[in-house]
Amino acid sequence: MEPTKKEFQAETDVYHDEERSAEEAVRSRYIVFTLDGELYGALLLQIREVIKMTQIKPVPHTDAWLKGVINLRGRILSVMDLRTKFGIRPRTEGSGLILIAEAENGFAGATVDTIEFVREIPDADIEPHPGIDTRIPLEQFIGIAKVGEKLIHLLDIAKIVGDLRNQKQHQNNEMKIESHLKESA
Amino acid sequence: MPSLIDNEILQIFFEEGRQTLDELETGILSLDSGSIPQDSLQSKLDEMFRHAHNFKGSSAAVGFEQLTHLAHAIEDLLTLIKSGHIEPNQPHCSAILRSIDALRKILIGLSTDSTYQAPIDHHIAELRAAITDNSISPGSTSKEHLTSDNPPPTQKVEAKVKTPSEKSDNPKSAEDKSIRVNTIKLDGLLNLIGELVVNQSMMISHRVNSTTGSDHAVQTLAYIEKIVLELQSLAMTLRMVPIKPLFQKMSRIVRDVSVQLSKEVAFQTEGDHVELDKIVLDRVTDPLTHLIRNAIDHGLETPSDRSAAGKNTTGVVSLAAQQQDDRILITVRDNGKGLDAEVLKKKAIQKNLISPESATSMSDEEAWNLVFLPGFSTKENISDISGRGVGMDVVRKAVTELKGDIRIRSKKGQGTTFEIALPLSLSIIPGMIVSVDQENYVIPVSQLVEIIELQKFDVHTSTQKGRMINLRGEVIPVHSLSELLHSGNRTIISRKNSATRPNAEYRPAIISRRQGKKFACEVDAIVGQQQIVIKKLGSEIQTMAGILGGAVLSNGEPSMILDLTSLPGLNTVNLRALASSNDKRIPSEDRHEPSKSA
Repeated sequence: MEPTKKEFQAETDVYHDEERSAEEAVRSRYIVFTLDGELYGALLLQIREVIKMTQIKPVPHTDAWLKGVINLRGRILSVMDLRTKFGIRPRTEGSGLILIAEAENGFAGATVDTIEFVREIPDADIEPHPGIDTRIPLEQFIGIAKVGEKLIHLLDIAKIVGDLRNQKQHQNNEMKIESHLKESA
Repeated sequence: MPSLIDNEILQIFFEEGRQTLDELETGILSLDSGSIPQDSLQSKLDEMFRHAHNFKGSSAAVGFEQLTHLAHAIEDLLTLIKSGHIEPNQPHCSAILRSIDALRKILIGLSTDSTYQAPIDHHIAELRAAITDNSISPGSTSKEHLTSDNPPPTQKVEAKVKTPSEKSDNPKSAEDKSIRVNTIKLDGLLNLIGELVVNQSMMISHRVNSTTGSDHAVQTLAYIEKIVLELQSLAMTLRMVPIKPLFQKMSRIVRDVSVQLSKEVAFQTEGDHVELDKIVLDRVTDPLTHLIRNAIDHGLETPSDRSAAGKNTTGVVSLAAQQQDDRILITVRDNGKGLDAEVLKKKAIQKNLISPESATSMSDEEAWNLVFLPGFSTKENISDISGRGVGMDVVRKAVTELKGDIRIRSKKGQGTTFEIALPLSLSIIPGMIVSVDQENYVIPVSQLVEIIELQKFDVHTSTQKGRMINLRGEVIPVHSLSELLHSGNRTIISRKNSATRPNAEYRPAIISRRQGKKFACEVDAIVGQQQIVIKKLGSEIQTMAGILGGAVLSNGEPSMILDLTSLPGLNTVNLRALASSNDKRIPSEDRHEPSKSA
């Protein structure tokens, strides 16, 4: 934890205007979680809450990474399996957690392995994601951050949820094609 | 200046203005129909004048000049009518009604844009002309004088339950007891109450399982249980609104259309106290408007045709609502000429909608239903009244979207009846819970014709048409819900499908209908029936074919409400099966069981 404190110190030194730094601090706070041991981060402002793994009801005719729906206090939310989405092998141990993310067009859940910490990461510490060997469209990344020796993939989770909402067209088309194929078969 | 006025005050003005105009319109309509008894005419006229005057006053107060001017002109005309200088006639009423429409339009425009303007000069001119014409030659319109002793020849509004003139002296008392609530808040409340019910039932099962609770706690819990149940049933009614305003709107349409077409129409309504979900009410307005217009335009004959047919020259159009269990039945009936099955068939053949061969085997009822086909219109020339590009197909589509049904009954020479059955609510439906591959799904009870035990039937397999059974002489295709649900997702199939099912002793299947044709859907088990609150899903799921919405089952489990009629996979297979069962009643399979095919 030593390097972290130093970094935090360094960051506050950058901003002489304290008010501005406080606002910045809120806006650049990230929740950092793991998927198969790798660190990922999401803007804390985009995360509504984190819940324990609950019953996920699979939805017919959807991509495998759309894991299903959950009942969150009476609301039915879609849940994405981030491991499947990112092409990571399925989780073998632990039950995992669900991040409830907020986007312009509603909420959705995303499964993660563990939550590591919440921390401010100033923009200065974030580099554009190199985009090597990843299944995620680059625009769904905020970038890659270096914290100590570790690299954190920072995800734009609101964008991911937004893209999920917008993909319906594509998906329905696929379904149409599929039923068409069935018909001609 | 409107811009300086507090937004809240403006909102109140818009809301009150709308109500005032509605009340003024109701008054004018009853004046126009001559349904006001002579002895209360004066007080009714006073009331109408007061509405116009109040509207003018409040418009001026918030600085909307156009509204003020037009309302002033209405007030002028009403003043002269009230004082007896002018005998009210139909042109007067028409002028005022048109001005009310204009006021409404401006009111709506102003609510989004405080500088909104609309042409009003011709309305003012029309009102003024009504005044001057009448004062110059009062005798010229004497034939059209509207009093109850002398009913108007062209139009009459009869309301069986309550005519506007019979309204209580204080019509506002009921309205004042209600407040407007944002539906988002309401939905949030219903959501939470739904969760409360779920959690409470889980708590009850815990209580049954444990013996540690003290008597006092048990008692309190029982009390809370009662409260929650009451809360839930109360919450269910929150969205319900009376259908009455819709009926009032329709009486205005009857009035306008009958005047325009010079047909004599008596309009009857029944059941205006029936309540239904606000959304259903809003969305049934357009289809009903169309049906009413249609009934007058296409259904009723001209007065001369009617007397030639030995009927009363005044045609009757009736609009009735009644509640039947979980459904609202709305009927639009006319006593006009009725539908001619042969004419309909001919037209449909002409328009290439059906083949001459299929027409010959068509029953009358099937022929009537041809009017719902897109591109069908029973009248030679498309009229201004009911032919504005909106056809009966749009009516049916709207009703179907509301999860309702529409049926036609007709008798040649005696009239036509359209019956619309709608769910009471779009947000709460009775659901049948079925289990497929260890997952529970909800099927709306409205889609359910019956449940059969598949093992009691001989299931025939033909390579082309899939499986079929003979259900009391009717050959219907059999689908597996498991296959329908998982055809798009191979991983789920391989994971689950193998373990469960075949050769089970008890194999329930749900019989449902798609486009009037039955089909069977095999499931693993029928779990039970439950009132289901329909939850909206994320659009990525909500827009998928075959999915109606989400639901929370009584144990808190999330689930999907399926729309059996639009489930993908069903379409293609089913249509083929339909085609063959349509061709001839008796496919080859039936030969094996002659006893059943009677």
